[in-house]
Amino acid sequence: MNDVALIASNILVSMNGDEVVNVDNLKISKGKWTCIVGPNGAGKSTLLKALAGLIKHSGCVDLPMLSCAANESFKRAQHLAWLGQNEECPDELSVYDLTMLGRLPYQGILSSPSLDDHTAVKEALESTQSWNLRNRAMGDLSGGERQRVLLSRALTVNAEILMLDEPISNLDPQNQADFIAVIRALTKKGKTVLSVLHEITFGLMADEILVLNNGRIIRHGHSSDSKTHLALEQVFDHRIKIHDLNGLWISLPKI
Amino acid sequence: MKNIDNSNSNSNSYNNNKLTSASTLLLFLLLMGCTGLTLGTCLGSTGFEASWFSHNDLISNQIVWEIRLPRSIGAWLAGALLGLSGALAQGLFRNPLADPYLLGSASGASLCVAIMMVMFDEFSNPWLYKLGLNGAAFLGAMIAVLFTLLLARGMQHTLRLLLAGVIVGVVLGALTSLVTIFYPELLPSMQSFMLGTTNLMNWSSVYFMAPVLLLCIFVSWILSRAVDSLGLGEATAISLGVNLGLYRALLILTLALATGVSVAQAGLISFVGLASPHLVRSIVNVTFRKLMFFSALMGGVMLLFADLASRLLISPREIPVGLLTAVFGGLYLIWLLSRHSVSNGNSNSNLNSSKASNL
Amino acid sequence: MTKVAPLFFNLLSPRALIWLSFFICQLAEAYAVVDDRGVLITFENPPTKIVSLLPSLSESVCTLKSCSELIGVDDHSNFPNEINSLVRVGSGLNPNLELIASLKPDLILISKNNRAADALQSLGFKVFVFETNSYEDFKRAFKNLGLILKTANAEMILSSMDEELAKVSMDLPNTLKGPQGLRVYFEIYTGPYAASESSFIGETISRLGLNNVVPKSLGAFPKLNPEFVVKANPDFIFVNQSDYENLINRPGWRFIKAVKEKRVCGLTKIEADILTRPGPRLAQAGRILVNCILNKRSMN
Repeated sequence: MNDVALIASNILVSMNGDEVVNVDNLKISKGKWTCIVGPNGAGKSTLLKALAGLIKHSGCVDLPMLSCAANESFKRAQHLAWLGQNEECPDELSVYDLTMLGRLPYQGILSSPSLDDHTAVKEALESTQSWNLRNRAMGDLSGGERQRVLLSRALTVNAEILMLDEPISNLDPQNQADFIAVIRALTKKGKTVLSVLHEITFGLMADEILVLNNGRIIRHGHSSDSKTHLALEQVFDHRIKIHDLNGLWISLPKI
Repeated sequence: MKNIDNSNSNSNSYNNNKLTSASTLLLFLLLMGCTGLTLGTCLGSTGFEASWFSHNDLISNQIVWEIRLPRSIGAWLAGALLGLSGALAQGLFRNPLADPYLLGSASGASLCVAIMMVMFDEFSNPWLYKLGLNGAAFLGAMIAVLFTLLLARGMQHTLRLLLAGVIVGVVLGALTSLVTIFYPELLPSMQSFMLGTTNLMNWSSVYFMAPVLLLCIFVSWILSRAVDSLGLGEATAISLGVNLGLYRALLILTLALATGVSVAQAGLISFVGLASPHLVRSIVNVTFRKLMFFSALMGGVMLLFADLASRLLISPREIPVGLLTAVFGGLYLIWLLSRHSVSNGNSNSNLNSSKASNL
Repeated sequence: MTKVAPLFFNLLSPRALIWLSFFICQLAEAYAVVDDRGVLITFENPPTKIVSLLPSLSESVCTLKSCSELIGVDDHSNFPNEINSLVRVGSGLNPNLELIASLKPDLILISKNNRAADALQSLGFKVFVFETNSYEDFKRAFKNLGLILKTANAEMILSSMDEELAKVSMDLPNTLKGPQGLRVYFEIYTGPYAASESSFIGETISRLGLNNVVPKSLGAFPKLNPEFVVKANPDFIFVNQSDYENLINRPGWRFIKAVKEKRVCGLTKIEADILTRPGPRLAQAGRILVNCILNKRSMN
């Protein structure tokens, strides 16, 4: 159990009577970056939300410190941080105040931010190169800056598991590179990152890949494993080919 | 990772600016409140007169103490309740155009007042008089919100809540018009209510509104973190451990209470609820905790000065205070729009320069 | 040409002459009255199928001639009792055009600024427009109705109304009248909307010799700052019955002389109708005011 961050069993999500996600047994490795990849409509975001406890599902999600029976949202909040896809943010809030929202799981109803809170915010902002933006209003930021700040908000939670839903979709290449660097730094510190990405090449930069299609896991393996690459190509109807470029894996469309 | 940042040098001074902005705003609003109250004791049916200087005149003292002071304080309190409601409504619906009447409370209050007026004419029940028009307005506001919640089948979906509130507002408004068609002699009195009226506020209104305001501010303070987290979307709020169901219920309850009490005492007053949070946000960038407090202060000052103007402009006649807030509110929004189109140009250029610095 | 000559002589035949004179007599009987728009309305005979869309006009018709000249009235006409058996054609401002048309009236009485006037006229009906704000307006309306109905009693009724009112006024002791006399506040709607000297009620009050605390400079029905009434400190207050109970709760009003001495008159709906309608019940209106004043004074 030491190297497992999350165990999901018999996860079933239905919407309007249709089965959207059906996952029997899933173990997410601790301290690693796992990426969920698959075609559109495969149920990637739905699975992630179910694992984060944000939507109704049957089955169990066990964390080492919280079994699924005791898994209420406010208990889970300190152990699992979430960054949604195209997350809204109030334009008039300052970067610092927004990042501070990540400390909500540690703050009582009537309490003011503590020293720990301020330290956590500073560290999170510095790790995403956003400390100098701390007094700017969110509405004044560029897309890349905004996403970095939202990531800081998720980092402030200091959770063991970080779940990211399409975090780099609308970013330009520099910001995408920065983002991945932050994720890598996190896993080095022992945090677990679980993300949904539809950019396959970026997904291949993760440690492990979860190939998803029609709500079911086709393969869960290392990103450098050829069997994983085969599963990926299969799931995309062989319209892609994964190439090796000096140890880096790149997915290109097969025309 | 290099980030040529063009705001590093400004960050410290900006921090200081923001701090001073908030404190300055607080001082300003408190000062304006006091000035307004003082002026309020001098403005009466004969225009400006500092009558409380003449201690010998018993009638004048009574006028100041019994009429002008409670009316001014009452106007401030009603405005504060509206300002607070506006901040709550905009937090609940996550929409800067939300106003406190979106849950239908205004139309419900109007309908109940119209029905009560008819019942005054038809029956002479002492219970009716005990409840009074104020009680009827409050009851109507609460019932309308209840209808909205029933129609929206709970509080989960904000969009459904918004639609239900609009529907309830329109339907009850139509019913109110129906009553006035059958009883057209009620029209001037109904118009008086629907355009806002602070002129019959007395000390009991003040004793009623003050604790309600304090209660609503307290509850809003508790809710403030939840409101901020809602700004990130419901999924993120849940992930942060916020009990959305409970907080939303409290939010709606507080909104309904604050709006209902204000409508009951002062009739329908437009724009104060909508404009107060905007005015505050245009001066300072604050979290909801400070926003709702400043909004209340701003609303209080706005309605107080509107009441002063309504007494002064054509004294001894009165312009309904809601008419004045609508006019001032409209002018303010026009100014806001023109400023936005100017600043939009500026912020675009900021965006471009920061993008360029990333290369 | 020779063929025309016999035609011409035919025209002058006795038969033709009788028809011609009849025709001229008819022309002579036709008369016209100018309404308050300045429009000349012609009549051949006094109308007998009148629809009245204003309660005071309904009362006036019944007083001048009889209610049987009316075939339809608006919802608010309620006096005299015979009116209640007539067809109701909707509210004065929003009458039921189809219903009115089906009654085939030969005259419709309507107030100024009523959009229904144009609609009814375009349907081909004869419409007479009245302005009825002041007592002067009412006198003119009454006389016009007399002309329309071809009754000769309009002037007589008007002067007897004035005499009646003067008699009612005599019941008030002289000490209460005149510049040193009673000062009265009349509230017409919750708001508070007061009736000033320039309103019809204000005229009635003045003719009784009483003083109105609301001067005409404020308009006919101003929406007042309640503080004004406290400062004015009237001796008598007239309000609607529905506002009567809560009057003492209005801030500062318990200091008003009228409130302190319990000289507040609550008016029922019927009494309010009589007082606010510029109509033939002027004397009755005065009677209501005077009776209340005398009653309250005798209670002390």
